[in-house]
Amino acid sequence: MPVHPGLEIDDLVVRYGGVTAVEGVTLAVAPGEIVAVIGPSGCGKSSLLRAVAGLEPLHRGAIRWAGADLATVAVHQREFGLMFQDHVLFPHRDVGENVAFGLRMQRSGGREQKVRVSEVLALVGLSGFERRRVDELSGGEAQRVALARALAPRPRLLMLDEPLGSLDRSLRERLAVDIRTTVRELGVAALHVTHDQDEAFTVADRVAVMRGGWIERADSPDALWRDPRTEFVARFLGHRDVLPVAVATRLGCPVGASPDDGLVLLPGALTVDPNGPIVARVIEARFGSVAVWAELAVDGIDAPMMVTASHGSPDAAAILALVPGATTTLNLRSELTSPVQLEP
Amino acid sequence: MDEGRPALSAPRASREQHAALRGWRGALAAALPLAFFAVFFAYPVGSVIARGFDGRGRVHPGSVLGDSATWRIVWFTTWQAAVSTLLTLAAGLPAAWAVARNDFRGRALVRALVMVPFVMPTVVIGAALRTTFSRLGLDGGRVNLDQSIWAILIAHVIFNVAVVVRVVGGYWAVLDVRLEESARVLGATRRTVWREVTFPHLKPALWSAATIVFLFCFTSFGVILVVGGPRQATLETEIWRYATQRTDFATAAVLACVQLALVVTLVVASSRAERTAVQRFGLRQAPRARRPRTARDKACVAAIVGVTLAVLLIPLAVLVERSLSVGDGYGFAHYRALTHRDERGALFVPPLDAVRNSLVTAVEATGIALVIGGLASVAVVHGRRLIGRVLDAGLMVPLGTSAVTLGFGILIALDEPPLDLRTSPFIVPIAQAVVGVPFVMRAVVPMLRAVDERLREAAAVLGASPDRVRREIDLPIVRRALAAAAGFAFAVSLGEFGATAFLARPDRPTVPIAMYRLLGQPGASLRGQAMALGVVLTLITVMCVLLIERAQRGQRVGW
Amino acid sequence: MNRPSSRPRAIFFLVFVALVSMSLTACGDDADPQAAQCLSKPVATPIDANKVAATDTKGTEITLVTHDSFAVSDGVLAEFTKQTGITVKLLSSGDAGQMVSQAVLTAGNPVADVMFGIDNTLLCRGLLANLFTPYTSSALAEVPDSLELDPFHRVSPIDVGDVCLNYAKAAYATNAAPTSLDDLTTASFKDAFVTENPETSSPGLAFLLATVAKYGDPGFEAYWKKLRANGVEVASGWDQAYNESFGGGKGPRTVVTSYATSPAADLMFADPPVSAPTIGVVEDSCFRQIEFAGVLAGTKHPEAAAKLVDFLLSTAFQEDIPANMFVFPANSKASLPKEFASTVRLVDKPLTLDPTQIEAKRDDWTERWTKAVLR
Repeated sequence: MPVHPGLEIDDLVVRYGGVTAVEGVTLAVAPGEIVAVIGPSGCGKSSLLRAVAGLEPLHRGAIRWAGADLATVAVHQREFGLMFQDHVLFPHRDVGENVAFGLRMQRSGGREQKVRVSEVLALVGLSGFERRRVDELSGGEAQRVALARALAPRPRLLMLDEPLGSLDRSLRERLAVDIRTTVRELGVAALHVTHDQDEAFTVADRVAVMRGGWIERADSPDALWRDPRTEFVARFLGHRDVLPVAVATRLGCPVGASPDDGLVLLPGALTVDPNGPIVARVIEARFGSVAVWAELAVDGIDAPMMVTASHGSPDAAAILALVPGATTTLNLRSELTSPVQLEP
Repeated sequence: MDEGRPALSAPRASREQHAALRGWRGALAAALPLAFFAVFFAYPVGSVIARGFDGRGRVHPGSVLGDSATWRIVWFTTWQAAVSTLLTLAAGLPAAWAVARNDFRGRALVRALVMVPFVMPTVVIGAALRTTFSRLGLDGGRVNLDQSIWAILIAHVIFNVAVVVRVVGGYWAVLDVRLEESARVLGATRRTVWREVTFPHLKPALWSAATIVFLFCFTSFGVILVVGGPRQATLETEIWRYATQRTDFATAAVLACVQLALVVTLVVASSRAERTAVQRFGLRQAPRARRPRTARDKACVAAIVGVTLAVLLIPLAVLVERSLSVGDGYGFAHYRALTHRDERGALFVPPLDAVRNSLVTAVEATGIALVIGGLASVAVVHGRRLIGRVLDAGLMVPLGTSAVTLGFGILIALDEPPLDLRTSPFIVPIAQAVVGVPFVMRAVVPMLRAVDERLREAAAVLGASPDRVRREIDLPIVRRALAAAAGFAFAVSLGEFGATAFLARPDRPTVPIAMYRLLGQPGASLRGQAMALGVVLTLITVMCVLLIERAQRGQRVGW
Repeated sequence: MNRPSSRPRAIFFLVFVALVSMSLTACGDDADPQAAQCLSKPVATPIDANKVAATDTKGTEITLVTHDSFAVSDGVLAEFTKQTGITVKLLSSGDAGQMVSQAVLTAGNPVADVMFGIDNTLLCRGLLANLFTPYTSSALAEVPDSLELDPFHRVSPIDVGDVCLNYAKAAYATNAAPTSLDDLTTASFKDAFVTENPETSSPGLAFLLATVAKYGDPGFEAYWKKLRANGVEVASGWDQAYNESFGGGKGPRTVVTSYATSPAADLMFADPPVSAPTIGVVEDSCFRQIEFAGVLAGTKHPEAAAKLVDFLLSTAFQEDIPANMFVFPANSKASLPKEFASTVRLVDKPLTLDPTQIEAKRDDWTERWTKAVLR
């Protein structure tokens, strides 16, 4: 059980010349906790990570570990692990030497190094890869080696910067699970930066959404998903339908929120219902790998609305029965909506 | 992460700040080369020029500058060097490509063999050219290349092609071939790929090589006198003539100033060009050279390597022929004679002792050059900007300074304790290191600049201190360049004559000095011994260069 | 370069300004180098020969600076060390011109204690720069007076030789060999002669001086113009001329500027050996070169240095000179090796010029030579 608060980022500001990359971020990662930071490109998430690693000077604010300020602790003395996007393996060393690098820096004995290297390589599923050249590795193998290299010295905090960046989808999903399992087993604190919400949800205990240098929202994946609170977060998490409250009310959706705010429709909120109050024209209906879905145009709303249902459900059959160009009616389940603050 | 997006995540300012050298280590990295430069170059050269202007001279300096003959010489010196440089680049680039991009049996040997002319005394190159011209009927009648500007240009190309092959080739070898492949896939012709991709990326190395070659040709001495004959004069030969033959230090000082001004202008401009030309292509996953696959590639590589070696090795062939020529036939008598001292005193030691002296001196010179050049490279890339620029350009200047200016400078500047180095045995390796340092820097600086900063960051996060990062990341990655540079420094030292001849200890001759002494005495057998000694020097050079590079490969550097 | 920059030009400009301002402040001294005064009374106090004999020099190390043609047989210098306890460190510094220039540059704080190899063409330059401390060695008694050019014995003559035209005997087995300077301008010697550039070669300069001595000034210019018209080849150095163009007697050129002793060298080193010299000497073309040694002013070991000069004049060293440097010993008591005695000799009437005249005019002569022959 945690005996100290782990990583605390307090009102952090990072600047490059005149450009502010991180603007007053406050975030904590407890020992054993995995926090994912997500956000679009250029939101400052990588800079945040680099600042925590000690690779960027702080303009303001503080970074603490176990309550102690890290301002005067150099990069190499922080005992943090960082897994770079694109892995950044040392080209002049083989897999084993890459993984052993941090151990060598800690001056652990040769035998100990060997044991630990094979241990972490086994952990990432690459047993026996020690003597392989790094330019002979596939993308997924290279990522795993990078993870193993970051884990080998038993860092107090593991930071992962877009660790699955350039991998294909299935590999990414599998590795995301692997990372979570591995980090959980080790019980270290982890800070995981990605632009992919699925990856974040898979890996993290808590997800922080960054935008323009600050954190818009940080919560558990579940809470975030159900209650994004802002249109930005909602849209970033993949919720397509965000309506102004006024429109929602006109559609027959009673909500208690202020009329200036909006409403996000979670997947499944709209259903095809012959008795539904909302009249819509079918644009198209499609069969997807996870769900079936249809796009419909609703009077008074610019963007097409989306109706989805998982395969085999009664709703699915109704969706697949839709004919493009025809008119149908929809119902809105208010329990699958959540009020959000609209973008100005 | 979008595919293919460049992997530069942080803006440049922060990188430089992170990499900046601070504290006493940074100070030391810059201070040692600066001190070396000041003591062994700036101070002596400044002293000798000041001496030329002290009013004791018979000639008014202004009258030298006002003389149109001076400017004719300046013009000739400059254009012959420029043309030599262009020709050398043209001749060297195909060979650089052949050895950098293609793996074939004997590649390491080819890389070592191109160094041979580098240690070959000018006398031998001159004799080889003469022999070749007369065999081809180019030494009289309608076409007479003997003692012509063409002879000078050809000799310069032969001498300097190694610089292009190794400096550019070293860089080319680590250039990511995928850049070119992707351009080809996008529909670029070979020529477009060269123009749009390869050439821009090679530019820093091209600038480096071109600068070195230009400076060598700008200050070439033996080639001008021996190959060019008495009608050709450059700033270098004129400075020598006025200072040593006429004891006219005033005129020599004016010419030395002109030479210095031109060289400083050039190195400042070229170091700037090199700096702006550097592209961070991330030396990370550069592939190993491949065996040529298509018949066309094979033919290309074979032709390029064949022609290059043929031209470079003609002088060697002449040397070998002469070393074996005994009486009216052939034999090994000259080689056997190398092991014992002639009872006459042309040499004060058995000729083979000169080999030992040469090797010892070369090891010392190479060591000094690697330390000073290595530190200077780090200071240039990671140190304070101003100091870096001063070192970057400053340490090149000695390459373009006449041996006489420096030699006479050392005589009058370093003449009192604690720095009475005039007759010290250390002055020879130091003087040779002055020439070796620019090689180290020109090989290492572009590499160091191109090393992916994130490799350093990755190492730092894994617990490597800044010092350790340099040792674990920069050093291994630039090691190949360092080895190439060491090979150069070594060869430069083995073949160096000017500085060594200045205050030579005849009882401790290096091989070039011994050869020169043997050649200066009447007697065919001494001449034969000189040639045999030249062959031995060649073999040693090739072996040493091979060894140095093998030692580097033994380090399991991945590419 | 991505953007144009003015900095390189700025630096060039600065250096240029510095250069011009230096040249303006330096007071030009275009006066005649007062070469005529070179043989006048020296400023330095002579080394006392009695004191030299009385000084214990055991363990002293002194340096002998020479030109790079200096050679001495094994053990000869060791003999000197055995006699006096002095060890000799050798230093060579390029050709004689470079050696003298270096000495002028370091006058007063010399790199060595004794200089060997300054010859009559450079003598005045060294004397005018006060390079030497006078020392009258007792061994000078055995040296002919004609060789002692400096009346104050700042330098002592060590060896003497002649720079002469040489010819390949084989090439003139049927045709007449050259016998005079004039011959070279005739049609029989069209494209036959190779000589060295007097600006860069010591024998080349000696031969130019020979023509000045023979034809006078400005008569020598006309002679050289005729040589040029007759296809004279000019090499930068003796090695290129003698070994390459002349091919040691087997090359394309058949007459070369070299030394009177070349036949002896030919006899000693011909490969395969020959029974008689294959090289002939044109005796009417010879210019006399005398090489001197002197104690460098500023030496910390004047007595040891003086002992070395004594030794250089002694028969032990003098008899070693011919086979090593192919010149004749200055000491008349020294005997010659047999190859010398039988094949070569110093010519009776060499061409000579006064050292003061050489010093005053040599730059002018070489410049006019360059215009007449090369331009």
